[in-house]
Amino acid sequence: MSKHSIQINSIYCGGTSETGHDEVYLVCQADAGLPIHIPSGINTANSMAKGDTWTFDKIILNFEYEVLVTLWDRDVSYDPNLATYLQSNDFQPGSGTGSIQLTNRNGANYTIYYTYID
Amino acid sequence: MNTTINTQIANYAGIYQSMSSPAVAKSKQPYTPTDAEKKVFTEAKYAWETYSKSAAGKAELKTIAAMDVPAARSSVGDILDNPAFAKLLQMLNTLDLPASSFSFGVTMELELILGFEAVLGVAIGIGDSKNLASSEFLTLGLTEGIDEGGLVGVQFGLWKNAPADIGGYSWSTEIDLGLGAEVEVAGSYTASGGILGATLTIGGGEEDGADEEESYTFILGNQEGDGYLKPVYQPRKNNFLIITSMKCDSTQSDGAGSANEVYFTFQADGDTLYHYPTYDYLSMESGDTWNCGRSVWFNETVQVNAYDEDDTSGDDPIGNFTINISDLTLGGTKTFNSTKDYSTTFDTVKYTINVKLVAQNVQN
Repeated sequence: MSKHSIQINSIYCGGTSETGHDEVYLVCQADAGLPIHIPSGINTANSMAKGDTWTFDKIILNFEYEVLVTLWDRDVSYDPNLATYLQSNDFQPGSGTGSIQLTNRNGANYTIYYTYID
Repeated sequence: MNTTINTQIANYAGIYQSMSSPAVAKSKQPYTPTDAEKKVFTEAKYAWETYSKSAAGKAELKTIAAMDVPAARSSVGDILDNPAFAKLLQMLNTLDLPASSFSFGVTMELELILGFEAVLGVAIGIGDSKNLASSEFLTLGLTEGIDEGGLVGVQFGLWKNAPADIGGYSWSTEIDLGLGAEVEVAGSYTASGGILGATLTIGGGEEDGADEEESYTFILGNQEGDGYLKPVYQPRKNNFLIITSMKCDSTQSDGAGSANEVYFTFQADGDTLYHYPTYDYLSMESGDTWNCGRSVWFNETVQVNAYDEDDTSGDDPIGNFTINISDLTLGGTKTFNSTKDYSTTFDTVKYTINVKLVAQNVQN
C-alpha cells in the first residue's frame, strides 16, 4: 500500500532537554501502523549532546499518507513509561531534500535531515 | 476480535520488525528428542486435549481470549493448575530431561497489516534450573496467512536455557515425533545452528515441513504498567485525518509556572483510547503551537481531550474537541474550538486544534 518513501539521513542536536546528554531514540509510525523503533532493539538509544550529529546508514520509511517521527529521550533503561517526549514531525508526501528543526521548552533542539525518495 | 491485545502486541511487533535479523548458518545440529522429551510432549498433547475439551477449560480459554496482555500473561500459567496437567507436571519433576526450562503459552494470530503468530506464555525452571525464577514471555513470528485470528491454540516448549534466558531470535524446523497431523513438533535453533530446544504446537498455524521459521522472544518486564503496552497501532478504518497542530492561546493557570504540560487523548468511534504523546507531555505557553501531526483512522467521529498534566492533584482538562466526518472536506484543514470552556472568572483557558482530512472512504 506504500506509495511514498522518505529517507532519514541524520539528526543534529543543537540542544538537549537535560544537562549533558539526551538518550535519543525515534519511534516512526507510518499511516498509524506498526511503531518502528530506531535504533533497533529493545530499550536502545543513542546518546547525544549539543553539537552531535547522529547519522543513519539507511533509514527509509515507506508510507501511503504520512509517517509520524517522534523523538524521545530515554530516561531509564527499563521503563519507557518514564521516557521524555522531545518533539515530533509528521512527514507527508513531498519531494527533494530538506530539514526540519524541532524544539521544546526544556531546551531540546534537534534538526532532522531527510530526503524524499518517491 | 480482541482489538486491545492486538494493539498492545503491535508495539512488540514494531520492535521485532525494526530489528535486523542475523544471518542464519546453513547447517545446524541434528535434533533428536530423547525418550523423556517424547514422553513429555506426548503427555502434553493428551493433557491439552483433555483440558481444552472440558467445560472448565473452554470457559477459561474464552476468558483469557478476551483479556489484555497484562491480564493474559498472568493468567496463562494458571491453566497448568487444572488437574488435566497434573501428570505432565509430575513428569517434568521426575524425568531426566536435557532441558532447563519448560514453557507453556497460548498461541494467537494477529493481523497487523502483516500477519503475525504470537505465543504469550510462562517458562518455569526444570532440571538444573528448577529453583530459578519463572519468566513470562511473548514470542512473535511472521506468517503469510491468518486463518482465524485471535487465540488459536497452545505451545509447549522444552529449552536448554533457564527461564530468564529464553529470549531472542530462534529458528524452528519441523521434526516428526509421530504425534499426529494436528500438532507440530519443531526443533528450535540459534542463528549459528545450535540447539535451543523443541516445541509442540497444537492448533492454528501449523505448516507441514516448516523449515527455519524465524521468531523472536521478548522476556516481558516485571515492572507494573509495562510501557510497551500503551496502544500506538491503529487498525485501519474508512477515513484518515491528521491533527496537524494544537495551538495554545491561553494556558490554564495551574500554580506551577507559566506553562501547561500538555497531552491529549483521542478515541475514534468510541473504540481504543490512545494518548499523544504516548508517554509524557509537551510544555506549552500562551502563543505556542505544537505541530503534533497525530494521525487517526476513524469512521464517523474522533473525540480529542486535552489535559494539563498535574502530578499532585490530578490532570486538568483544558479542551475537548469533537470531530465528525461531516465537519471535514478531503484535503482541507479545519480549526476546532473546545466544546467546553474551561475558563474561570480569573483564568482564561483556550486551546484549538487544526485537523486535516487526508483520506476518505478508503478500501481496506
